[in-house]
Amino acid sequence: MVFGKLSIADINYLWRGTLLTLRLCLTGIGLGLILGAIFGILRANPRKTLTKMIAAAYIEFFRAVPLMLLFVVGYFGIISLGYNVSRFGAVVAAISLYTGAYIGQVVRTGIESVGRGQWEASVSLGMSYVDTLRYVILPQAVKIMIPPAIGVVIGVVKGSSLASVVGYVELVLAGRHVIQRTYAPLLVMGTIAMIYFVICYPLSILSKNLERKL
Amino acid sequence: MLMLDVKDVHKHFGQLHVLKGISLQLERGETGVLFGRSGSGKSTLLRCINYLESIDSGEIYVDSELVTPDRAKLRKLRANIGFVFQHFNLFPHLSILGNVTLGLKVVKKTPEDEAREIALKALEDVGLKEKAENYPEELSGGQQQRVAIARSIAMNPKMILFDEPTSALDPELIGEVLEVMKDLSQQGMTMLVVSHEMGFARETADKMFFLHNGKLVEEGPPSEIFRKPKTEECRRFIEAIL
Repeated sequence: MVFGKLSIADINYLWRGTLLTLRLCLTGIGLGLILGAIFGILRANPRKTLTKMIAAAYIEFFRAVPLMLLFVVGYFGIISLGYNVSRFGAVVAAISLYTGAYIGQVVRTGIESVGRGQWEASVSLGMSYVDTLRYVILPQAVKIMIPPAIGVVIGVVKGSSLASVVGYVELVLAGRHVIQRTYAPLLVMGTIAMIYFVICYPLSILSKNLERKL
Repeated sequence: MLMLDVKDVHKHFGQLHVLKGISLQLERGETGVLFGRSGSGKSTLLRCINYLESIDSGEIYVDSELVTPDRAKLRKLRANIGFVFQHFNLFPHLSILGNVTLGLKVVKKTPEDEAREIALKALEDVGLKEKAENYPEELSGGQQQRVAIARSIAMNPKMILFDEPTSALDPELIGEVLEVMKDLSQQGMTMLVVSHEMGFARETADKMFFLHNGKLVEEGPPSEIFRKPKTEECRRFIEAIL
């Protein structure tokens, strides 16, 4: 049975690519969100602490480096140093660090956009910095963070296609393999575009819904 | 018994010398009104008392406790000093009850039920018990400021500082806030109020302090300040705003 020029085997191959893309994104972005929350909060500290400077350095560095380079360095670079690293481990690490930097910036901006009056009212009650963040600032900041954070996530989902450069057979690389077998580039790439759309569009909808609900 | 003792406080913002050696005192239970032109340093002085602003030199004592930057001591001190802001600064994501109970629960570790009881009593004092379940955005400015006062009262403070509490309000809403403040004063709360509400000052203040260019140029009971101000600046200022 064929779907146009695509055989069941081709479709299965693309499906596997989809699952690998999802697996990479869920793990990498999940870890990235955690990194971003931690470093974003550390960077938002108004006092010049060591942790703030480390967070700033991390965020600025990884925002300035192309994701593709992170994949290449994370995999081939580490291997060239003589260490054994799994392909999946390397690309997940690259995506986590990259996502963490962008989300860190979103978190920091969100925290800083809550008015100074909220801090002053909280500390005037005798609340500590951490309690103020937890009970007053973050509940308000999260609302501000959601749209840009989802924008970052969507960008990273699409950027995960660059993991193909180190031979991780995610959706785009799977597609190229199928094209080599079928000579149907438009059909295959069209299908892949649809799949990305199906992954990313619900995220936009989620963003809008959350924005309204919160 | 002194509740507030400000001793020779100096403060700069960069090059600008905003407080030039201010000393003033309030006894327990007294209400003081700080007034003067904008830029005279009155709000800055108020904010120094609970260390929302640091000071460059001098000392401030609240109920014999030195105001210091030490964070643990500062938290304890601030829990004992209420602060009411010009723009209320209620927490928009919490209900009115949530606003008033937050400090109790987080700072004083008061159990939920008890915090609720204390908060409802404080809201009753400001006449807003029935708004407990509403959110700040559903209230008028005057009501929001009364909630802010209830938030301070609930912490059972030794003193409350008011930073221009009515100057962001529509004229018709000012009265209800001043009324609540007058009640508080009569119940013996120690209060220091930055305000140009001269009617309130005349009726309620025990002492008035006139700040001019970062200096305390005149102080006294309202009767003296209004009837025979000693300095030219104070006389002119009072004439201008009455």
